[in-house]
Amino acid sequence: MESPATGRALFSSALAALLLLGGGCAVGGRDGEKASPEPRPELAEKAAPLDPALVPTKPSGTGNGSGATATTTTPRAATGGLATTTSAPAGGATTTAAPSGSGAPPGVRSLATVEDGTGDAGIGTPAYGDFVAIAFGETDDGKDLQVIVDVAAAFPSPLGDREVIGVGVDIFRTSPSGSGESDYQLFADGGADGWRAFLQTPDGFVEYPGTFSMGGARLVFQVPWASVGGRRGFTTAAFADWSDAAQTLTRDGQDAAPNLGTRRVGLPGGAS
Amino acid sequence: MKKIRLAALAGVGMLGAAVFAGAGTAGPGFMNKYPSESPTQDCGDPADNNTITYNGPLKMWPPNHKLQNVSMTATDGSGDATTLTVTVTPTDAEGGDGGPNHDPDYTPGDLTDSGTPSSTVDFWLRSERSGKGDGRTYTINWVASFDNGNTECSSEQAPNEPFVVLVPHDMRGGAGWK
Repeated sequence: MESPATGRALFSSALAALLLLGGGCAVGGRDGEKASPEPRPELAEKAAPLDPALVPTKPSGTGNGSGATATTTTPRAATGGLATTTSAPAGGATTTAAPSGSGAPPGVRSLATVEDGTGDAGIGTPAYGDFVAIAFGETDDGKDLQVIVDVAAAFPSPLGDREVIGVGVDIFRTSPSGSGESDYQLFADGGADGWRAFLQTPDGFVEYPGTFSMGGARLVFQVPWASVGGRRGFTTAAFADWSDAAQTLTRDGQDAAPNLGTRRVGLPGGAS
Repeated sequence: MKKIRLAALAGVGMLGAAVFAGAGTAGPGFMNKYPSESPTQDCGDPADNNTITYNGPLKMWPPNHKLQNVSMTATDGSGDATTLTVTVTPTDAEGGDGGPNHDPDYTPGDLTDSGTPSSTVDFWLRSERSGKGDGRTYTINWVASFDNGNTECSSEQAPNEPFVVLVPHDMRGGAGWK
């Protein structure tokens, strides 16, 4: 493909520069040559049942985040009903750099947790579309990044016929401030036919290089550090998009953690 | 626009030659009936091999708010000079833009390249849509000249038409790969 080499607006130049920079990063995936601009099915990882070691020790949606503001959410059972939100202000988010071992699954060091108040995903959004916390850790051998996404109620299985949930965790490398495009993204695509995880890199989608599991109100991504630009600190932001087009009036909702901007995830020992 | 959108939807929903026998009603000017590959339109007599090709997916999934690089190329079959101008227009229900972490949504303005014997315009489309509607469409209008400027075509002149990229609400109806 030829370069356009045309006098583009600054917008295009900036985007191109950003991508070129991103392209300079380490590219993940077991098989780099399989990178694709489109998420071919063989690149995705189907959800596996959650490892018992990763099952939360206390129920989600009960305020396990110290940073949650005073919102009250009443999720309807695990089959995924609508959340009843009784407080107006959207939940705040905090980042905590958890000490090693605090709340982290066995064999994993906790790096940081972005906590998100519940009841802030929009009116009518089910509680399973509402973040509680995003926890970042690394395996004790230092090889893998683990990202645990907790929501306020268990995901129904299966989701509705035209119900879709997308959960994305953006990882910024070339822009420490988290502006512009993320360099890497872990993305879980949930629909009536199940869940799949994708890893998008500066080269596009690559074969998902790790494990993806889910159970109850939790999704867990685990990928090698090498697949997301190496073992070093990063800036992150997560989003959850939920919608259901089965009704005459399509309903949708969005949540973000943090609610605004991004958060920094550092590594012990200053590997940043 | 209707023709290629129909082709895209049909192709996504039902893979296979049988489907594209139906999608063959996409009309004149289309050499490639497989929408996930590079659809091509002819400018003028197909024998002249003056073509306009969209390089990228006609359906974007998942809606993960990521920008995707796509391009269009005008190629002159005789090796003469070409020009190509592309304009992207999104259509979507309210909402679903992913917030300021996921802006802008596409490359705005008129995007132009010229070259001999081909011109390529790179641009960006964001894979996202509002949850409220049936999905987002990016309508890609174009104007191209061939034969050193002596032949001109545009998406506004039948049988040519814009390329339409869809970010669907969901994968109901089948995307084949799910």
